[in-house]
Amino acid sequence: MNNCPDKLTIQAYLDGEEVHEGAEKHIQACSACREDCGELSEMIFTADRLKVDATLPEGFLDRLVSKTSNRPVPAAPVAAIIFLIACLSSYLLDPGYLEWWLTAGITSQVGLIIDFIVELIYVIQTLGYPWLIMITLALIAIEVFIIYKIKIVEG
Amino acid sequence: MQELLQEMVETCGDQVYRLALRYTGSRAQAEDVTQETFLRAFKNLDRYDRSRPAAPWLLKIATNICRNWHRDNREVLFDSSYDYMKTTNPGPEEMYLAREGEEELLQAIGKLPQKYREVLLLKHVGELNYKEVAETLDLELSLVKNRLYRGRLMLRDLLAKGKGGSSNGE
Repeated sequence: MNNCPDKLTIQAYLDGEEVHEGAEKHIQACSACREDCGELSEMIFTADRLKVDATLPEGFLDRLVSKTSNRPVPAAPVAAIIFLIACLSSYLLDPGYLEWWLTAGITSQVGLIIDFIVELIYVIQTLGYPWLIMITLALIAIEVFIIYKIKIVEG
Repeated sequence: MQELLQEMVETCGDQVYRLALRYTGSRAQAEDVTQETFLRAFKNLDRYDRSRPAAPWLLKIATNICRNWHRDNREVLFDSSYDYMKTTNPGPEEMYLAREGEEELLQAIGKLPQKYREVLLLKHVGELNYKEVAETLDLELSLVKNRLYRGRLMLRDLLAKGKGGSSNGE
């Protein structure tokens, strides 16, 4: 009796955990330990009621994969980069633009322009692929039309 | 990265979902928690040691999310909507008894102190072994054994009392 393992060891034995070989043999042979086994088994049986018989909803993986593959770009830094590229390229094309820019008071509206680009990025990110393809095709058509017109004017 | 995530969903998705279901009692909420778990896992895949099983790592993330969920939605837990039972289609009497049993169980889980609840759910719902539970909750193995024993004892007593006792362990 004095050599009986404690209840935590008996519990581990019932849970299928590794216990000392001596303890395992003792539990199997000792009537007092078997009594403890009965009580602990009942506790384990009660706690087993917590088990839930459920599986992941259908389409879960597809929904998850679509979320991980369409990670949105950080709108604010991208908007700032677009804005800087636009400023730099206009300056390189014609330095006079920068002078006009500084005198026309547009500089006070820089924040608004960046906000507009940010909103534009958000809108584009919420659009599905069909919409993006349609917009791209429309832009290509407009560009081709403009080039065609310029060619006519220039002869 | 995507392949690893898919593999994790296939091997551990149900475990995470069941744990979330037991915490939230609602299929929709459980799916949200599960999705959040895998999105966080995906974000932190570089921290995952691929030589170890994924379940404890994922259930650790899920437990943290559920902990926050439980803190913010305590009243929902006690409201015991248990909408996942609606899909089993038993007869009216069976439905009533099952629902009553589930509500009783839900009340009891809600009344268990968090430290016992977490160990019990990881063992019985997450189906982890002692070592994995210890790893998931960053506990000593001896503490896991102790909490499991005390948690089971409390759960049995709460259910035996029918209406459960009071909780002051959180």
